[in-house]
Formats: sequence, C-alpha cells, structure tokens
Amino acid sequence: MMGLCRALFLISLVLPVDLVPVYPAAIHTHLGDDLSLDGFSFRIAYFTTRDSIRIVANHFFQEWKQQGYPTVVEGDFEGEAVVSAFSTRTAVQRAVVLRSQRDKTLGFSMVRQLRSHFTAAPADRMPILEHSLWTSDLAAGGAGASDWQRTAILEEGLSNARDLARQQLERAGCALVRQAKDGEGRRARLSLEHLCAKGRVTTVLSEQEPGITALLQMHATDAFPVEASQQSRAGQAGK
Amino acid sequence: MTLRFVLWLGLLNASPDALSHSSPVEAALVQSLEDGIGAAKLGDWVTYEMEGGPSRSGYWRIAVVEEQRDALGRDAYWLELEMGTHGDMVAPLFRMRALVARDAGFNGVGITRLIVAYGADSAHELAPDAVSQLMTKSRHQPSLPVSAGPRTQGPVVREGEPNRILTAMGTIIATPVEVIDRRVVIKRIWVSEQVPVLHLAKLEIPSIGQSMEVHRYGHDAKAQLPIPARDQPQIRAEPLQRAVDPVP
Repeated sequence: MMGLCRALFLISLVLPVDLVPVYPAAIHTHLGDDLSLDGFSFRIAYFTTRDSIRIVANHFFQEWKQQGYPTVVEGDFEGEAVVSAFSTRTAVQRAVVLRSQRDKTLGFSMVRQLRSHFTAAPADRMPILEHSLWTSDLAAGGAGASDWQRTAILEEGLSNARDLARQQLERAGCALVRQAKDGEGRRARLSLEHLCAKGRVTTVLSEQEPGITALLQMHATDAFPVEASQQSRAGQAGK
Repeated sequence: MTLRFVLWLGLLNASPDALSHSSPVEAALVQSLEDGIGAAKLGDWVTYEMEGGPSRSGYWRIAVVEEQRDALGRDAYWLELEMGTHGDMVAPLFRMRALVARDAGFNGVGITRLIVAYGADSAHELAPDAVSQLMTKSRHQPSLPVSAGPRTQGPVVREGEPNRILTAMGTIIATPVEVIDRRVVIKRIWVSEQVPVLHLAKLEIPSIGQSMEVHRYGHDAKAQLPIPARDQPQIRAEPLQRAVDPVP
C-alpha cells in the first residue's frame, strides 16, 4: 500500500509536457527530459519567431490574464522580457524568457513546480553532508530519477571533506572503486568513484580557500546492472 | 488583535499598519461575516467583486464546504474564504478555511480551527492557542473620532422597497438599505434572499466611489483547501513585544 501511495505521489510530481507554454506557429524544442533542481521539477523548451518581443510577450500576458492567473511581466521589451503566470492551487509557474537575437526573438518556455518534492527524510536521496554551507541538487528524468548532480560548499579542509564524502557513501552502501589526486597545494583536486546499488557516484573535491572545500557529486545509472558489472570485474581479475 | 488583522495581513502583504489601509467595502464584508451566517447551507458559495479605486480591485469568494461538530460539540461548518484578482478564482492569492460554530459566527467565539495558505504555499493550520489568541478580541471595533461640532441627529437607517438591480449574475431582486447622515448617503446595501451565504447583493459607499457587488454564486461548493496532516508544523502566534525582544 505504501509503495502504491509512493508511486502515485511520484506520478503526480511529473509535470505534463502540455503545460510548457507554446507560442503559435513556432517549433518548440524540448531541452532534456523532466528536470529537478533542489527538488523543484521543471520542463524547458525553446523556440524562435520573427515576431517582436513585444508581440510575443503580449500574447502570453493576455492569454494567461484571461485564463485568470496572476501574471507579471518584466524587461525592457526591446532586448529582453520575461512573462510569468502562477497557478497557486497547483503550485505551478509557467514562464517565457524572451531575448532579441538579430532579427528574431528567441524564447525559452518553462514550467516548474513551486513546491519541492523532496521530503524531510527522503529514502533515495543522498543525505546532505555535515558541515555543508550550501547544497544544490539537480536531477534529470523526473521525480523518481536516479541520475542526479550535487554541488556543495563544505566548511572543511580537503582531507576532512574527502573523509566525510567517503563515510556518507559507505553508509549508503556504496563501495570505493577508484581514488585519484591531481595537482598540489591550492590546486589539489581529489576524485572518488563509488559503485552503488543504482549506479556510479563520482565525487570531485577542491579546496577553494583554507577550510572551505567545493564538492561536485554526480550519480549516473549504470548501463549494465551493478551485479553483472561486479561479476565482470571479478572475472577479469581472475584472469 | 482582530479577525480583520488576520485577513488584511494576507491581503496586504503583512503590512503592520494593514488595518488602517483596508478598504471600507472589505471591512464591511468582514463585519458581515463576524455577525454570523447561521442560515447558510452546505454547498452555498458566493463571489464578490470589489471596486476600491485604482489597483484596489479584487474578488472574494466565500463558500460553505463541509459540516461537522467542533471540539466543543457545537454544530459547525467549514467556511472557505479566497481572495484573488480574477472572478473565476483559478489562482487565488490568499486562501483561508475556518471551522465555525453555526450559532456563533465568524469570530473569536465561533472559530475553533483556522487554516491558511498564501499564494502557492501549501496550507498550514494555526495552533489552537494561536487561533484563540488572534480571535479573542475580534469583536473589538476601533473607536470613531468624536465630532467637535454640534449634532442634532445621528445616522439614520432607511429601508426602501424591493427593486430589480443589474449584477454580473443578471437581474436580482434586492431591497436597498441606506445609512444616511445629514442627508448624505454613507452606505447603501442591497439585501437579497437570492444571494446565498450573506444575502448581500451589493454594497456601495457613494462618497468615495467604492463598491462590492455579487459576481457569481451557486450551491455546489466543494472543499478546495486541504486540511494539513496532524503532524504538519502549525503556525504559532506570540505577542509582538516578545517576538522582537533582543536575544540576551
């Protein structure tokens, strides 16, 4: 029952493609799939048109205003403009960012959720590292995505930050398969590669100033199941 | 602190002097609610259009969405209030849901539970002590300035004959009630049994050009603001002085 509820919850977090704002008679190219930034799902597409920024902005402003959404416009309407509409009941924002590009208007259509789908204690999200000053997570592939990228600033030196990252991943059941160091002193960068149940986590650490370390962590789903990959490695080692 | 403060807080972006900036028609709406809506039926709803001058237009929706007994065992109903910039209320800017005892009205005595949502934020319930703290003095009225000049007569209430008035919902039969002070119509209210919840079709304050008029009404209201789960954090209130006390 809990699994069903969770599945329904995740389905409800996927933003429908038809919510992405569409400008008439323009070809829209979607960028990526379902994206998630710090737990906020969004979809994005771009289009070009020979209509001026003012005409395009006015189209969206009038359409959303007539539909009853609180709508705001910003910009100089010569070089750039942004039109946003807010659906407060469903907590969804639709927006177009318009830029003048030679004799054309380049538009980015965007729809995003205004409430984070990260729960207080997510089961499948890597916990935030201790001593984090700032953390931002970007995921692709919808709310249930296993591919994600984390950027963080840690209030720790390089070696302590490495230990924290290793402990975090080992607690999550990941095994260290590779560790490398590039450069020396202030230019030193540490790279860690862990094998986890759902794929591979690559961590890059770089000390920005004494006691402050930047962390970049990427999780990619393996093309092959982890077990098969491990068996393959074991087989190669045996040879 | 009054109920009005709670409403205007949401309406006016938490301005500390919100009460002094609220429009007379909005104040009249709140006063109508405070006086009680005991005859309203489950499903009744009404939307009013407020015309308060430049950049002071808006819509209010009031709906009776559920019936149940409150914690004190009284017959009560869940009342939803929404404020937005469009009459269809597809995206209200402020939403409130209150459990109101049917015989007591929308005031400190009648309200036992209060849930609010600002903009796209999710709904939050006020802690029980916060509800009682905010609503206890809801019937307090600011005192009017005393007139320095001699007065021969106070304001007079004059009720007219039922008449047809044109609204966004078409023609409605309503009875005008005017409050007149020294030949000046201070306020004109059009009362109609056709309009659910408040039985208020139109309210005009001619001297300042402000009005409130029924925009839509019906009898099929459904709850739209969910009740937060019990384990969700609640909104707490504390006296302003304590809130701004410097940390020792």
